[in-house]
Amino acid sequence: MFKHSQDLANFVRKSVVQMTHDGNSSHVGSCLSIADILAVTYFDYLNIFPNEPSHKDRDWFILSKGHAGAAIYATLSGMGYFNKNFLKQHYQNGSMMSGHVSHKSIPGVEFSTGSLGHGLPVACGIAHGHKLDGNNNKVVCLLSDGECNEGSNWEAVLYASHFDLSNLTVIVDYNKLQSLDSTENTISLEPFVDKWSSFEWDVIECDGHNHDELKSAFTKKNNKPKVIIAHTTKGHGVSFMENKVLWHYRSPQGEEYDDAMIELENYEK
Amino acid sequence: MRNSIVNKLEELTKDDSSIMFLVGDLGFGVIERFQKKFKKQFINVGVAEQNLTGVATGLGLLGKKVITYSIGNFNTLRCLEQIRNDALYHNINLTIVSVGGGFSYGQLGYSHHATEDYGILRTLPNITIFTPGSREEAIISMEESLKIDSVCYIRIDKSHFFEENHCIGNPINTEPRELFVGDKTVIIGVGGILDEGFEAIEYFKKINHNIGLISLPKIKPMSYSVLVPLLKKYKNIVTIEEHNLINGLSTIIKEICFDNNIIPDNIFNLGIQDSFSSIVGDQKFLRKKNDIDSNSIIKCIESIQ
Repeated sequence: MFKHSQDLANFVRKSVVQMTHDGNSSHVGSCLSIADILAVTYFDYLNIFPNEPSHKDRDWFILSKGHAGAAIYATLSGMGYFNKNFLKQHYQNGSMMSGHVSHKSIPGVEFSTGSLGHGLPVACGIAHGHKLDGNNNKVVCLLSDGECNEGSNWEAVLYASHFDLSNLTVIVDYNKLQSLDSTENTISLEPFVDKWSSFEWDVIECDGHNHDELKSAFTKKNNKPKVIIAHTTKGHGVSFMENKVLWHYRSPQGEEYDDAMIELENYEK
Repeated sequence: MRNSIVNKLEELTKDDSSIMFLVGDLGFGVIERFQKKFKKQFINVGVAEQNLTGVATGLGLLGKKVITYSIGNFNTLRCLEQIRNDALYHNINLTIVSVGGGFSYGQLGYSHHATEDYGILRTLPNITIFTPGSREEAIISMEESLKIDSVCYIRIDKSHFFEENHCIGNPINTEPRELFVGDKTVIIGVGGILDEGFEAIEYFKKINHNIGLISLPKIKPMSYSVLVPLLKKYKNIVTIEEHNLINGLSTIIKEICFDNNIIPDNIFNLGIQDSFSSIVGDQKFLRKKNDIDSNSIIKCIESIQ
């Protein structure tokens, strides 16, 4: 078990480089972008029961940017939901640990995603259900910035504020890069804060790699649904992957893998 | 049929606090009493069918039995991927109730013609599809669907047939029903268009010719053990549906015949010929226009006499 969210984040970073290397799979940049967010969410914020994942008092986490499956698998393993050896199943023939996050046979995953724009409406349903039942369970949903192109999210954004779902927190991984180009050159999101505010959400901006900022963003009291716009760097922690569209799809192999692992060892120090 | 189904839902909700009735800002004159009676079990999600189905899935993940209600293609095709990825993949107890099957809203134009719905939905794994033709079949469909821990679709039609028009008694389940026993020829249909079948049967009765009539209130999963022996009795089969012929009832019946070595002398498939209807009109008018009315059935059967 880790002593600090930072330790968990480091574990997640190294795990996702290892997993995308072993699986020859994509999205390492997207995974590194959210390692800190996931670490703080699971280590410091959510009320969870790794030995009893379906515990009725648990808080719910939905990874809507399902392409970062490796990152959530690593986080769950780091939090003790399952043995880290299980991560070797990722992307392998015959395994159920798919590249995009799957709940089937993976303890702790609440909801499978992969097609963007699905997580937030579902998170709204969970939050609304708990609210109607008078429960205190919290719901967190992590979106990518590119995912905010999907109209279904904005249907849900309207819904959450209309029904006062203050038990719902959205985090947007705002690394400003999509699959082919920057968000600015693809479908611009700015003024992003104003957009969420005008939909009657409580908006907090923070550095998505600063654990203290993330923690205070989570704990800040809210009366409306809350969105944390986390400014992040795609590929964070591996210098040659940072802010490069290439690393949305490229898998770390050969020297690139060795160099990435060395950088991540040094990152810890 | 839509009143019958909502009344039934109201009755079931009295004893079941896990039921959630979600509407997509539709149901004027139908849903108000439920809304008033069960405030905490009713949500108008607004005009947002992707969100409607996503919210339904979230509620379903908490163990609730959820109904989404809208018309035509809105809570089916508009949110097809949500039905597939969210509700079906996660085995949500969701019942999709779409009123306005076929040309129910014929005058409103092509956007409101639900003429490909069950063909598209039946391709999705593990979905149950109800196609009731009478109020009583609709009520049974609602009852059965809530007991199924996965996604069900109930196609509700503006038209319906009257159970008192035959003598086999009201439905006790959604298995294939032989409403009339014929000699050599049978009409098989789904939904309110079975009424056209009744008209055709009456016509032939007058000339002492007994035509069979089968209603299929549930087309997936199909009850082969009931349907196959029924099909085997007949030499001529006429299928009738207010739906594209592609992947419709005609396809289903031909699949069953082929798989079970049933070789009728004649199969006629009456349905929509892979087209949109830009012409508008009421349900009866558009059936006539698309050659899926009682006269079209009569012509088919006369051609084989």
